[in-house]
Amino acid sequence: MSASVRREQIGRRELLRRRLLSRQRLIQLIVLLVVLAVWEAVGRHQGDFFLAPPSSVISTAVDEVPTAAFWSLLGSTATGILLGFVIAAVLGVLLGVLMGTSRTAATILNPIVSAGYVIPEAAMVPLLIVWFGLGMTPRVVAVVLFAIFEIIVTTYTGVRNADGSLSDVVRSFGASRRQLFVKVTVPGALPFIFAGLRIGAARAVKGMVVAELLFAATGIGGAIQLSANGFRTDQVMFYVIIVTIIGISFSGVVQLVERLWMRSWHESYRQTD
Amino acid sequence: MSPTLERRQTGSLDLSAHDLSMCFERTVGRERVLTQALQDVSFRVRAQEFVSVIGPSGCGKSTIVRIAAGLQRPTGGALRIGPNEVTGPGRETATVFQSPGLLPWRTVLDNVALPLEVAGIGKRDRAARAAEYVELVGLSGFSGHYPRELSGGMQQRVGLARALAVRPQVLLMDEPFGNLDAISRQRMQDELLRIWEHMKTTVVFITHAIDEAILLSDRVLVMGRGVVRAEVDIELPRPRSRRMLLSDERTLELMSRLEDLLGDADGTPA
Repeated sequence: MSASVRREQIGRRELLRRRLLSRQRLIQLIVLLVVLAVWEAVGRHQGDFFLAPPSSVISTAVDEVPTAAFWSLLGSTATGILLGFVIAAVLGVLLGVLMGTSRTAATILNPIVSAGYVIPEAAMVPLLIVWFGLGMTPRVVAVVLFAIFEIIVTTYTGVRNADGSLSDVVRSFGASRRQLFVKVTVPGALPFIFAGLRIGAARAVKGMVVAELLFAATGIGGAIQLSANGFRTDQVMFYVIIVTIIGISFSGVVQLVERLWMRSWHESYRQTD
Repeated sequence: MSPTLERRQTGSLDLSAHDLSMCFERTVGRERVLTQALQDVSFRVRAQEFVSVIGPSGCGKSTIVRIAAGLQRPTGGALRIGPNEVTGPGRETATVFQSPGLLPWRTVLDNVALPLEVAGIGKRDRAARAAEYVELVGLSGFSGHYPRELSGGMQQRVGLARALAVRPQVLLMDEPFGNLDAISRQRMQDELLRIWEHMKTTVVFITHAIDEAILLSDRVLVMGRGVVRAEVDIELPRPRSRRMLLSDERTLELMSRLEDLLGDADGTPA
């Protein structure tokens, strides 16, 4: 054999150092600092009303974060996002797999999914309020609507993509349909499914905030609306940053699950570690 | 299930085609296009015989493998493995495809174990058996590697080990070395010769390379336009080696004869 492959373990410490102190991280940090500096300068020049500078956003944060009201807002919004996302993930993956494996299901569902994919979900929120009132339910439904179509479409694509020449090979060994599904289709589709879930997670956060904005009185979206009505740009900025943090940490968690899961059974994920 | 698979001998069955026909139909615009890939093809491959099928591309030779593997039903006639007609994928045959078709998320060992897993053989048994065949194709040190870490030739070795691990009665090979570079190709031919001498299973080997067919086979079927045009016995002593064949006059004779037949097969309208 001409080639030989050597595997060496990299120490935990070294790994951490590489991740935290890379050249890319340094560049990202510099860009962030520059943006903050410009923001601060413009904000001070224009005044809080037009663009609150980071310093006043920080002082707002210092005031807001310790309050019970803030945490209850955060809790309500985060619960809704999580609930809606889980429902969208389970339903979306199931429907995507169904469409990918059954031609009849694909024929029936394709037009519905295509329509759902392009509908501006925000336009549905007033209807949801009419149907479900002002409680948690309409907000969760909004999150589901925002997230589910992306998940269905990517899962469907993944399942169809996985059934290529590999399934012929495995079929030639006398594999049953169930074996084919478990051993070829699912592992082949997983990278797609996880990509869909990641996008879905980000869209779930957006869906929640849009719904709350239109509700005007609930959650972080509601707080943004109230702050904007009171011309408190510093508070608006603060809540937008909070939403961003929720979004990033949320897709971060999905990505982490993806990594942990795929590491054990999908080779392409070993490289990126 | 496992004891029967464990003990049985390989290559004790023959393969026979009886008036095998295959007609593909597709619609292009308002036209119905019928392609006759095979037309009343009959031949027999004896138990433990190595038969190559050569022919220009599109002559239907790959279709024979797909039918024998049970991936496609013929539109006419029958293909039998031993006494039984092939009606779907079965455990009597194993196929090595032109592209290795390895599952990228499985290690070499797990890829070789896949057909055993499908057959319901227990975890420990299949790991032991897979390891045995990984060793047979000379990849012992690479059991834990993933396909992308291997060269094309090594990947095709894994494909071969996977097929052999089934201990098939009939081994089907569809241009298995067609995608390899010349050096890997020669090595794989040598390797296949060595393994076949050792296992003596029934082999149907599809190729378009005349030298490859002569080196490996007991008999060569020349196909053209969906029919078997000629059969040529390769009466060269075994065990064979590339060097031996190069110094044997009969090799040249066979080559020019097959060359002529192949030319005829290509030129004659069906």
